[in-house]
Amino acid sequence: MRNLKREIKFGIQGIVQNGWISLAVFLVLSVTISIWIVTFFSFKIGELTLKDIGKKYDTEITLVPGLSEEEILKVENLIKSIDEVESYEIIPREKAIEELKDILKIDDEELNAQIDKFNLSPSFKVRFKDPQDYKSFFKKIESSSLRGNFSSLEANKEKTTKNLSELEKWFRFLKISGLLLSGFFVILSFLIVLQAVKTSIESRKEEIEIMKLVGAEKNFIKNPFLIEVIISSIIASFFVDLLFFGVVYSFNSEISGFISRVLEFNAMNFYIQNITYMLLISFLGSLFVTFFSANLSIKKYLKI
Amino acid sequence: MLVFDQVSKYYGVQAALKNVSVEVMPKDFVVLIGHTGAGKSTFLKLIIRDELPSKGRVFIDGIDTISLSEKDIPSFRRKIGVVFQDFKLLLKKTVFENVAFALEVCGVKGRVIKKKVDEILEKVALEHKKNSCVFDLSGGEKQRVAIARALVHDPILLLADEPTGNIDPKSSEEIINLLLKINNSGTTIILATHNKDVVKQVSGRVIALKNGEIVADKKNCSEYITI
Repeated sequence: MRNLKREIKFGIQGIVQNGWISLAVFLVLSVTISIWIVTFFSFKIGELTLKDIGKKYDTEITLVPGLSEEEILKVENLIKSIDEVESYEIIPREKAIEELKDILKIDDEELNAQIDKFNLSPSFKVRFKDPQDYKSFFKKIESSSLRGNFSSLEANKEKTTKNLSELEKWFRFLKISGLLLSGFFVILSFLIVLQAVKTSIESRKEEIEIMKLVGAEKNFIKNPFLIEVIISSIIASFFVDLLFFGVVYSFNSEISGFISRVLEFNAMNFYIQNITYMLLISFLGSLFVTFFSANLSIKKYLKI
Repeated sequence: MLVFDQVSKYYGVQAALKNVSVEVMPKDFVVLIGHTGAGKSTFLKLIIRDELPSKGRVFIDGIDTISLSEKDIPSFRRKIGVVFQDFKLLLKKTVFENVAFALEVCGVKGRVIKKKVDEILEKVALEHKKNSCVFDLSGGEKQRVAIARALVHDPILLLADEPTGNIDPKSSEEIINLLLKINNSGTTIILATHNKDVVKQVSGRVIALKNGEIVADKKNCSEYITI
């Protein structure tokens, strides 16, 4: 315990002694942690938005014309029994005609003249629990005994696939770009910490030599360098976490208003819900990077 | 106390020490003389186990330095105090902090450190400069701080590598007197120098090194041996 206290003391002295280098480490770590947190939040918000859009997406399942009430009921029961379905709505022929009238903005006479051009059989509008569930939904429909009651099943499936896979593509893009950016900053901070520890070792060469001569234990010589960057990373994590809290607290309505254009959103609530992740990302992430890079640097440059 | 048993040390093909055998008894004061490159520094490095012999063995207080594990080296080094020509002090720290540093890094309790440092500073007559910054001290005072630091672990052996090299003759005399006093209190001393006045002042055992070999080993010698 006494040794740990002294190692911490020497670590703090190292931070003060290294001045600009310590500041550079602190700044790079702060930027890195900020990027991680922004990436995490963007990813989370993007995920929520895309899920929301996906959930609002209705897949249309058209039935063959002239089905009896009984057969339509069987189809309804089949759709109801599929786990992936969150909700559905039956669009009877009459409603479809009314909707068509509204879309084309024509009267009954004109509609009657054109009605044969449109497939106005009853249909179902199906919403899935997860947008990705459409694949298994279509599989179940295609393998059911009622397969013959569905019209243009392939076209419906294709349309859904096209629209939802577009969302999926955006989601993947968001994920990959976030990971790449975070990865880049992890490497950058790793290299900067490595260099900072090297410089710190060089600037304290005399002290190290004296420690060796007077019989200091190896760990006592090594640990202050490790502690030095760990303290910097803890300070940087605190700083970034406080900064984010300040930003969210001060600009809650602006942030919420901006994101609410696409998603029902409250920045403060979202922040509080995800605070554990944010703390984990900032503290564990930065500790992980500094610990490994500092250890590598000590191993490479501290000859004792 | 110290035994060099047919010790040779090579750096590549270059021999720094060749087949050196020497024995130093407890409480001895040995002056090691020789020109630059004669092997004096290598001799001292082998004692503190900063280097290992290429051939032969070095025993300190019965301990074979080759047999020391990495883990044992720190406690071994606490048995040996070392003083250098360039003092090797932390210039931004005070006299007290410099001496205390040697105890702090070895995990000694704060209370013990204070007591011990005060005692040692009194021994080297620097108690009045306790809170002075080392940077502001004269060469002689700096060397006394270095000696104080070397003594805090109560070493059985004190190595002094050209301790008067960077100080004026008057301070040099004071430093040697201090080392003689330390020797009288029971600490074995090995002093490397090429200062004739130092040899004269010590009037002890003189070992002369030339090209890594012992060319003379005289007891109660007060004359510089011409090599």
